[in-house]
Amino acid sequence: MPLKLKKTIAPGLVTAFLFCLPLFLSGDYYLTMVCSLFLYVTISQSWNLLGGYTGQINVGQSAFFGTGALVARLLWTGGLPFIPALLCGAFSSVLLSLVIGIPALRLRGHYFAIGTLAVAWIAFLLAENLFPGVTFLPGKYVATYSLLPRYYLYLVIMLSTILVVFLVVHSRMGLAMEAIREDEEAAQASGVNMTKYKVIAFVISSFFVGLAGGAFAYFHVSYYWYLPFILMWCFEPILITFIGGAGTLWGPIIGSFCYVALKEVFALTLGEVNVLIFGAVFIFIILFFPKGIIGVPEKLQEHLSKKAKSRQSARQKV
Amino acid sequence: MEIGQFIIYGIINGSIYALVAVGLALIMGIMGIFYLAHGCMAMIGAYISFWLFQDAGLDPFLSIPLSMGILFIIGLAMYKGLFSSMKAFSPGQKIRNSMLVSFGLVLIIENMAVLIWTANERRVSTDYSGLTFDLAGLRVPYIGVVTVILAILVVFGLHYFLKKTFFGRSIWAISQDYQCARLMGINVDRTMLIAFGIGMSLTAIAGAIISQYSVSPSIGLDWVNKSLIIVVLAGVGSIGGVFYAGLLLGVLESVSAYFVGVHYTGVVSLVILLLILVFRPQGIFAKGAGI
Repeated sequence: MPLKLKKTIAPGLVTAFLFCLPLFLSGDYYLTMVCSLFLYVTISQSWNLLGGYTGQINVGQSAFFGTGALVARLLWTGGLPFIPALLCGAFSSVLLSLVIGIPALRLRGHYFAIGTLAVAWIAFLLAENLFPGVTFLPGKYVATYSLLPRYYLYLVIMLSTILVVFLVVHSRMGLAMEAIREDEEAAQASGVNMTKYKVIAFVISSFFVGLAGGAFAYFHVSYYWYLPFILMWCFEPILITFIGGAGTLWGPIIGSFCYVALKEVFALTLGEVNVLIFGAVFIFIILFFPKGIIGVPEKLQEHLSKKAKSRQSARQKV
Repeated sequence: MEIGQFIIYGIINGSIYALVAVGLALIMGIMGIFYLAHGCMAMIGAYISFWLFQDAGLDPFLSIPLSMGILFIIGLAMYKGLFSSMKAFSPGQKIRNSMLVSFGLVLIIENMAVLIWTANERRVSTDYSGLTFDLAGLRVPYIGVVTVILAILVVFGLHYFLKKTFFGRSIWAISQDYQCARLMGINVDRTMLIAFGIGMSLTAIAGAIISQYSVSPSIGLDWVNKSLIIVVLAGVGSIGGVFYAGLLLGVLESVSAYFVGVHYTGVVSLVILLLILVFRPQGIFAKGAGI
């Protein structure tokens, strides 16, 4: 794919801006918020590759996120340098996706969703029982703890996720994935190796989720071992992707932005009922804007042109 | 002898599972709506029974008709507002959209329940709550016997209702071919609306029994988890199989509690679910293929 200079300017500027952002942001509060934004973009973008582009609704993200976090944390606190520990975490989540993915991807429709949900649930129960209690960072790590390397780790992981998804989607592979989403039988009939592309999408997706899990383990000083396994990590990427617009590169990014912003605003202003209002907003978007926020301008245009047309036809009748 | 006691409790638990799952078997298995908020509806039913018991002194079993009526109306409103627009979708799209919408519902209902009833665990305890009788040296609670009888009545009642009556058969017809059913003169909208309401009101029966064990706002996802396992075990589209699947799951869980400990019973049942999904996705109690 020839790189077009014009098209790389805007993303390049945004990237440069994000790399310089910590210089302008004062206070840990905003930096932490931006970090969680990056985390959400990563997990929802990788969900988007499998769910949005390939059409396989994976409700088991938390199993892969948690595995990445667990392995990376264990190895890192065990004495391994962080980067190898992070990669080990990501690869163990890929391994899990291969073990589970190959049988699970034969399932269709709600069977795949139920199956992956069951995997997430098993992972949660096992984590809760096998690793009770809280994990603390050893004292020497806490002494040198600083937010900046965490920020850059999240940033790099997010950018590489977006880049990889972009490259995959704009290749032959991406076409095959979208063909599978639109019609499995038709794709198979025209020679698309369905299992191969589903497994590839699953593996790429779980690799980046595993990385994100490792970053989560690096970020927090202490947390309950089971925290990265809770089912919220399954549902959040789905919520975000559909709020933004599934099957588009910008969807998860816009979705995460809105999600973090809404959560922040609602939590500050509404107190306890914030999740309730959030659920209502989410249902509203699914019902009335099935293409997500990214589809809003298109829908408005459609609506306006329909109005114009009906006005025209009314005039003709007169 | 101890294992026999475990089996007795397994059968009773299994009957509760079947009672919760039977509504989901109708809504998901036949109507094709992936309804994650099902457990939350059972939770609402349980709280209604709890309320009626606490404030009006009504026995939880006697409050069933009232809470069934309330849940029926909630179900009608829910279907009208949220799910009726999906009836013409392709199965895949319907599953996806209904899953997302019902997940939003889970968020709403859970938090509403916390606001109304607080996050504490509640329980109805009547005069006969802890009473048991002796059966060949095993303790059998009276509530358990009523539960098993109710489960048999409800599951097989629904089974024959769907197989034998005109209304029931038109639900099947709509699930097979929406356009064709309409051409055959079935009032598609009204039939689906009432079927959804029936599915909801059945959870009230389960709720009345759950209220006698323990109810808190967060039990919704646990119950929908159990119900999904049972619907898959029974075979999507099978109603009568729900009773056997419930018993099987209940007994397996309590026997595995005996062997591997209470903490891992959830894992055992989910592993069974995965095995069924991989090796026999049409379910063990269904004759034909599920979908």
